[in-house]
Amino acid sequence: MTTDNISIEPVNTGPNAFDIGFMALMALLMVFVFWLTTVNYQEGMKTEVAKRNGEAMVEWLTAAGQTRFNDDFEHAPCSGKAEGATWGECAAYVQTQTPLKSLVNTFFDKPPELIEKCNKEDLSTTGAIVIENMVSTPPGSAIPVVIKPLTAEDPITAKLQLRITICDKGGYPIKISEFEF
Amino acid sequence: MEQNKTIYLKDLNVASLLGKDEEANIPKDLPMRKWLFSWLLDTTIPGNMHKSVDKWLGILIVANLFTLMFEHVPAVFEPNKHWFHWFDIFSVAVFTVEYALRLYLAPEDPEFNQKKHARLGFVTSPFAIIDFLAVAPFYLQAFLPVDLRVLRALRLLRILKLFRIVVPAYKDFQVLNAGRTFRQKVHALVFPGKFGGELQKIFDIFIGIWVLLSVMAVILESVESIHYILNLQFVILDGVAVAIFSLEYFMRLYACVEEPGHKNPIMGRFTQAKSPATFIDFIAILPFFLEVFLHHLLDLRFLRVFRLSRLLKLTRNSDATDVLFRVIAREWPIMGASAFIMGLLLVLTASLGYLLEHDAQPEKFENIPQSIYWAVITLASVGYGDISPVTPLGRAMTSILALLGIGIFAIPAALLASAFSDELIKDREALKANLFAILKDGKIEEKEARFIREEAERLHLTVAEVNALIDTVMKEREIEENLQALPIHTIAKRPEHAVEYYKTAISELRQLSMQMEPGQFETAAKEGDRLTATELALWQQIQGKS
Repeated sequence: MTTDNISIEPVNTGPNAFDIGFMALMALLMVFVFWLTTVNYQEGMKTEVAKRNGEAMVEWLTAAGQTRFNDDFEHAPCSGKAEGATWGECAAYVQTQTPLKSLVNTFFDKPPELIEKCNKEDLSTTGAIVIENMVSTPPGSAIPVVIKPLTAEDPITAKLQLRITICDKGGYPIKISEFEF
Repeated sequence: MEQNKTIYLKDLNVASLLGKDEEANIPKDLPMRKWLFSWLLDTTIPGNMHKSVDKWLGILIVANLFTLMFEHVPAVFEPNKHWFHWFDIFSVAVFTVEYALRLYLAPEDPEFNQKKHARLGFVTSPFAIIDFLAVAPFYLQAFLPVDLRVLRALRLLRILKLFRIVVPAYKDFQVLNAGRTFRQKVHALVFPGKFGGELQKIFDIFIGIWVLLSVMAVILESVESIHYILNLQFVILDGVAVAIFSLEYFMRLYACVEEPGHKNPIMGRFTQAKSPATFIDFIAILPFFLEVFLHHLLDLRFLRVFRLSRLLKLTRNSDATDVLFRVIAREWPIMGASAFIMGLLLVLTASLGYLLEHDAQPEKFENIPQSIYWAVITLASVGYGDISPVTPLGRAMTSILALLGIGIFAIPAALLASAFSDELIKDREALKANLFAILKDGKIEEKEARFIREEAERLHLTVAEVNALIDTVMKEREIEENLQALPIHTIAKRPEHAVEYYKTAISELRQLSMQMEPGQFETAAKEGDRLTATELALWQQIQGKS
């Protein structure tokens, strides 16, 4: 057999229309995943801001906790020596008269609320701050501390062991810190 | 590229056949520079250390990437600053030694030794420039005040060192796939095969690294203190992992039509999509998309646990899961029977427990369903002790049932263990049968050598084991050739020949079974009573089925 008369057509091994379509689809997919990651990142940033809010609250209350039983304590509603002082008055003061008034809950672009409990069924608690009172139990008890929400009526005339948590995007609590107030 | 190399049995070296040459054949009397080059950098000498050098440098480069990433996390970086610093010094030292060594050995490198100034040729080559840039910023800061952020950015250039490994693999891939279509190239990259070369291995390692990274991230996310610090890093890592796994998933779906049995563009892809390995790939990326779109409708945090299924992606490169599924499928009837007995014993134990203990402990043995929990814990020898019998009869019954439980509950485990062992023996027998055919013509073609290499790797056989297998096959072949020429009554005169003849006959019967679909022989034998019950039982016994 001779091959003289056989014309060898060049074989095109480059991408055909389907290949180009596939590559375009993959590029779109990458853009889509990038966009979703950006959305996730932005949501994560909001949680980070909520954490920073909680940390700022911890910092201020810890600092106040060290001096609030002194006579010259400047934030009167939070003083431990004021007769009948309650957490409600102190909280209102903290949220309106101190540098903490500038805190923003970026999930709703408004100041973070102080609530009693995070609730995954109620997403309006997202980004809110929960302050709880850790009450020690008598020696020999099965559990060393009982944790209950710090309510507006609770007196603050004695030292308190507090715990601050914030509520994340799904309404789940993220513990920030435990400290003495 | 595939070499058409034929190995004759008289020259057979199994270690070389399996690509596991223990030691490179480098003369000791070579000049120092040539000797060093041959040992460390020469890619053409099998068994030298260049692969190890490349591997450890690759690991160091990847480790550098991680340290660079963690340097941007103050909570991780600040307390471990000095460790990061020492690691950086170590890396620079290694990379500097590597650069100096390559510069010194450049005159021996065929890439540069044709040039007038070999070392100048090396210094100006792209790889050498990359190597230089990888270490230069470190020395630069000693002489010039450089901003730390700029320095970190410059250290990112170390990633480029990976090109030294990837570029040759890519070139090799191009050669292997010359004249092939785009889809065939994609197929060669994502599916193991003869066209994939080193690049396919690098692709698998890359996917493996990301699987391990993302699984580690899922595990660490559950540690509150770590999640608190690295929340955003985990978000980015998951995004990148999903991008990579999605790309891999769709590349597999796109290119699977090149696989045998998947030719139809729609049905082939559908078959591929519902295969266990590809389904795992799908499950690995699904939670990311579901969580983004449905988080406001449902609490989908539980889906995050499914990201751990990414670990199953690693089973693609292992034969173990296939063997497990095969074993379970094969032993299913016996395991079913064993499960039935276990169920029966469970219900009986729970009922007796309820009958004997309900009056004494109504709150613990409230009803039979509740007693089933106690029965499982007792029969499986777990014995948490939260529920225990108190009546003498109840205790007596528990003692007996606990002893029974040890035996009954151990049956499935024993079954699986023996089935695994059988499967391994069957695989080795199959390899032996194939070796029989391969060695028949007294030589091993390259295609046959590749088959032996792949099978040895799949069955985790050492050089010595393959050697022993080949020896056995060759001896059996010799005896078979000798014996087959003899009439039966002559063979019968020598008991050792009779035994060998018997072994050969059984081996042939086993090979016959392996060539047939399971159950085909039995069906044909039963139809029309072709075999007596004894003959059929003997066949089944030879196949290890009774």
